[in-house]
Amino acid sequence: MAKFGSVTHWIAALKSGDQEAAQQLWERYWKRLVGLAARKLSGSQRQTADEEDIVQIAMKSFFLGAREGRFPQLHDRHDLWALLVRITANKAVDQRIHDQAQKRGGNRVIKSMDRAVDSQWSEQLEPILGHEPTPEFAAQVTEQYCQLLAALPDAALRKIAVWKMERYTHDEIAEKLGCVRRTVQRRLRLIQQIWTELET
Amino acid sequence: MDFDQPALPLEVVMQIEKICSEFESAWQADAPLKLEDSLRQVAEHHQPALLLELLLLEFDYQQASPAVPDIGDYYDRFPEHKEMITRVWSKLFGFIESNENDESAVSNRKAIQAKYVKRTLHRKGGIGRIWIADDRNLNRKVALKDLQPQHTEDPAVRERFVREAQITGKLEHPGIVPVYQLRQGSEFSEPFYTMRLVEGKTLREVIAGCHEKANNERLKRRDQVSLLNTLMTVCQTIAYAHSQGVIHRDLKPDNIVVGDYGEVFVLDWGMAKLVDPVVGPTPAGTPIGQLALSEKSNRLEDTLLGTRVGTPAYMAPEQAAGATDQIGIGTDVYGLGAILFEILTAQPPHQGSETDELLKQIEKEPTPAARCLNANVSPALEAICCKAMARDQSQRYATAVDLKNDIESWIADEPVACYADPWSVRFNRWRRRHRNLINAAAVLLFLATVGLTIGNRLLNRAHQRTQQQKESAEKDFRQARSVIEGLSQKINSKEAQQLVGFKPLQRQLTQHLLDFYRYFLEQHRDKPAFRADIADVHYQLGLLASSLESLDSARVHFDDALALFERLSENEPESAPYKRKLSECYNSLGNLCQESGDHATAEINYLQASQILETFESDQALYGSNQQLQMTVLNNLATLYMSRGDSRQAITCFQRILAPPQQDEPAILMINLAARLNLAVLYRTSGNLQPANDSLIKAKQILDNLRKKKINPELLHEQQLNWYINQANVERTFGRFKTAQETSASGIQTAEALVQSHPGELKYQVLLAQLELNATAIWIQGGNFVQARSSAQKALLLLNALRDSDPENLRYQIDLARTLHNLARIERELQNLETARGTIQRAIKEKQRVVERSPGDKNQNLLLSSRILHANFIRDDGGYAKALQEYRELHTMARNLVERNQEEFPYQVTLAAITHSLAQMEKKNQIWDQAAEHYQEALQLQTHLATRSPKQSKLIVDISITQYNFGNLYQVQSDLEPALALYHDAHNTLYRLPEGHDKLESVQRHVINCHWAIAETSHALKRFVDALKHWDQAIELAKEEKFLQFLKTERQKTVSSLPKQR
Repeated sequence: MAKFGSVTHWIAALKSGDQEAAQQLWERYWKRLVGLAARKLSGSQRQTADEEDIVQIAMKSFFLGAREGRFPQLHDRHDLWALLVRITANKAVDQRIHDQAQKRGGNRVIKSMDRAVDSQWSEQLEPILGHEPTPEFAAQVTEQYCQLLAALPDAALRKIAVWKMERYTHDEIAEKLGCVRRTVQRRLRLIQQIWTELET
Repeated sequence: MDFDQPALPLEVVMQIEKICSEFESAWQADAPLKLEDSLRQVAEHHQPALLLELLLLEFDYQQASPAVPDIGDYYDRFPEHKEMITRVWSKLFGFIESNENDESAVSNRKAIQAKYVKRTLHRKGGIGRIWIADDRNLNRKVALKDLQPQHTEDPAVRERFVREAQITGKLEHPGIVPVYQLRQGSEFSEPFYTMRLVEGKTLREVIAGCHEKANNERLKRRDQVSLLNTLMTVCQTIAYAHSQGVIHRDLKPDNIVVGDYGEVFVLDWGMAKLVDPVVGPTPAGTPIGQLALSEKSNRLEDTLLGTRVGTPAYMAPEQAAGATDQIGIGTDVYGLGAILFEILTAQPPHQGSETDELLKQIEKEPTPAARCLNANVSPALEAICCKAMARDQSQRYATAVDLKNDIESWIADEPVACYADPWSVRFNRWRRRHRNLINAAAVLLFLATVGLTIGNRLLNRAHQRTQQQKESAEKDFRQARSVIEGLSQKINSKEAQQLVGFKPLQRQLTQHLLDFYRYFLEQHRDKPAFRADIADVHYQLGLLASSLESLDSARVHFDDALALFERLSENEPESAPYKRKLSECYNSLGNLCQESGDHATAEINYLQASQILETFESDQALYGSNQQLQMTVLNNLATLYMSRGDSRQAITCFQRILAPPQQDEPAILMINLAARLNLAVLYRTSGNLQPANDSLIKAKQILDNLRKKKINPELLHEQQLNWYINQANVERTFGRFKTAQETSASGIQTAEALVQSHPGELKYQVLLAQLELNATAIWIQGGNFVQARSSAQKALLLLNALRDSDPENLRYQIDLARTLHNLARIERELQNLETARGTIQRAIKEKQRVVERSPGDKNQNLLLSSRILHANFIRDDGGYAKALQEYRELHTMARNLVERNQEEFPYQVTLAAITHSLAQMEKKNQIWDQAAEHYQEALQLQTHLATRSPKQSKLIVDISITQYNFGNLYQVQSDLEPALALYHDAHNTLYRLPEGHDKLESVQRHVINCHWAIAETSHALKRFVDALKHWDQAIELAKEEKFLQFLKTERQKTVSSLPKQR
């Protein structure tokens, strides 16, 4: 019997535009990533009374893992996980290119990935998903997440971002905030815009 | 719900956000702000973006009021944003029957009318909702399906939704709800479609109702048949969909609606997958290739939302595994099977709370059996269900129609394709159906024989009349006789023998024939014109007598036939028919001799038969028709060699059978199959595992091929079981315990079913006993003696019964003795010393009886092995002197066996084992020189064996053990250097083991012993560092607490002996 679910199989499917494959690959990648990050964070867990402690909040998103089988969906254009992974990956690539450029004496930084927000996530994530997430990368993702949360202008937006990361549905978030679903979506769009612009 | 706004600078977006928040708060405080006031807060060119958000918010909060806001009012208030307002209206108050771009409609301020008005929510499921709606134009009720609000903004879901409507719409079949209208939706509007409104219950509700009514007891036959009828309709609908290249992928009782008037509809084609249309009867309609999907249909071919498509409780393994490329017709067949499962048990086939777990379970574990949940389920229906839900797609029904046909057969009380009913059911069915036929056949045959007897008399009288009359009478007589012979062949054919319930009748008919032929002989004994007939009749009588009377009476007839045919063919040396008859006679005589244990004469007869047939080989045409006979003869000869233990001759014979180009004839394939299976046995027992394995693969192919040819499956059962036995044996010898155990378990399961369904057939009981014996060996090798005992006891029970039924049968006796031998070993391992001793003595006694009756070397070896075991018991109980004596005797016997059969693997294995044991005993009795000599000899033999069969891990472990024991020989004599060298050898030999085998518990114990011995000896030689290293390794592997303590104490001694560090 052929071996299913191998990464190469998915990558091939991904390249041919198979969303199902992309989602499977993404779930697999995401589970590993969250697992690694949670392990890393649990070592540095510390007690704090500050409700607004961003590290604390960030940790929870990772610890929660897959809530009731809810995975971040690649085709959800409001999803923040894919954005976070992509931003971290871009940064890592930038850093490497920057380091190399420094070694060679130049300082030309080449952007390796397209950063348009609303094109297909799966296409942009493709070069990342083919690899296992390393513990270092997981650490970078958590750090990046803390930075991005800190960059949001107010606590209300931060809450929405965190809830979204924790895979609450838009309706659930709206209920928590006492607003309509449209508002949640509007604010998520805003969060995406802030994060994307922060990157450039 | 996205409106794809143009990107705005962040500060503008944040400003809009702030205004929206205020606007929303105001609504929440029940003091709504005026749109115009809020709008004025941003620059004019950003106003459309803001207005859009505000409008959306306003409508969200106005939602309570049912009326559609008057678009004209807003046009008036914001004339510069007319276009935006139109978009919002279309989008929010969908289902508008009007051209969005129709400027005149807008400018005319004509109230926009909705064609459909949603009334009540009918049901929700998956991504959509189904409403009961009014169609205002046609004034009728329709079902309107739209997306659940949380999915409206997801493009993938929208695509899937539209696709579902398109697929449903294209499938025109009474079992699929007709789609009236589809609104694709656009940037500005939500998709929806309308269908015929079906009122009824889901099949799930219907099933639950029926089972409730039956109070969880057996379903009323009427209810069951009605449910099965529904399922058959579904099968046909699905078959139609398959013909159009559509795979449903989410079949479950919830997706079937049974209308109030018996209509059956398959719903929810949202998960459907498109494949190439099935070749076959395609009803009028568009083939799927032309099925117009959305413009992006190319990409959609295989693209659907979600990771795993389907509902876990009814999901096929390939779906659970996410193997999208494996999904096909078989997946739906599985789904249909899953529905059948629920019909039978009122429960879905897979249950579990955790989706992940459930999926893993579906993917990995065997499909559940309906009868486990409801013992009242008919075994035939369960078999249908199992076949439909087979894990392996190729084992399922090839099409939905095949499944339907089997259900139909069951309802009509006909045999179903996938299940052999127990004989009682079958016989009764057969009798119901063939009552007349059976009676007619009996009467006909009786009349025919009586008629022939009369004919015989008339013939005699005719002899006394004119020549002409005589000739015509002879002709008539021969014709009649050929009819009888044909019938007799049919009656005694394998197929007829498989017909359950036919046996008594067959016996009766055979007796008739016998009487008739005897009478015929009496009448015509001395008439030369009938010589050929007489010869033939003798031959027939021989056959009949061997099945009905004694072997001796059969032999007399065969001898007569042989003598007559020989004379006939001397007169006509070129006559092929006589020659063929001659070889048939020799072959039958060979059979007879073999059966009575006279192997030498049997061999001569077979060789004669084969030689005669060989003369045909030069003539292609003749050879072709006689090939089968030649193969049969060779097969008989080969099995004869096999039972004599002459594997080299046997292998040559089998290879001769397989050498000529293979024909695709079932009869020839059957012989090939037998040859392959036997070859596998021979290869395995002579240590050639790879060829054995290859033979089994080929045998499996032939089995599959025969199955495809739809020959009577009854003929294959026996060989199938033989295959299991062989396969498990090869796997066991390879050391693959787990697969061996699995294979053996499947074999046992199959055999048990056969024993149950064929209570009169001893051969299945024999094979079941074989399989249990097989399982015993596997468990023993795997070190699980409790399981081994249970298997051995099952085998013993069967074999005792078999032996009692036929005390003359050598094979039963041998198997019985073998089982006792194994049981003795097991009891010994389980420390039941007394039982073990008694059992091995019984085994020896049985084997002695075997040898008395059939004194071949193979049986000698059999006896030898039990005597060795017995000697081992004596040794282990401390009777060293007696054991030594015993081993010496056995050693001589084994050596003689090996000398007589130079290349025979099993004898060499025995000799090696016994030489090792002898050396051990000599060591115990302090006969040092002889011990060393015999260790050497044992090592030589073992090394030779391991080279011949490098994959047998046991042989390698044996070498290591001998080296270790050899080391002990020097150690007790305080000759430490050679001892240490041998211990190291023993340890190093283990590196030759295939990966993983060193983890076996029995091997582990030996590994620890090696380390222990090396450590101890190194310590004694003051090589403390080495000693320490090996103590550590032993400690690492040791598990038992006391032993561990001991090793640690010993290690401590070494540590304290270490020279103090400077």
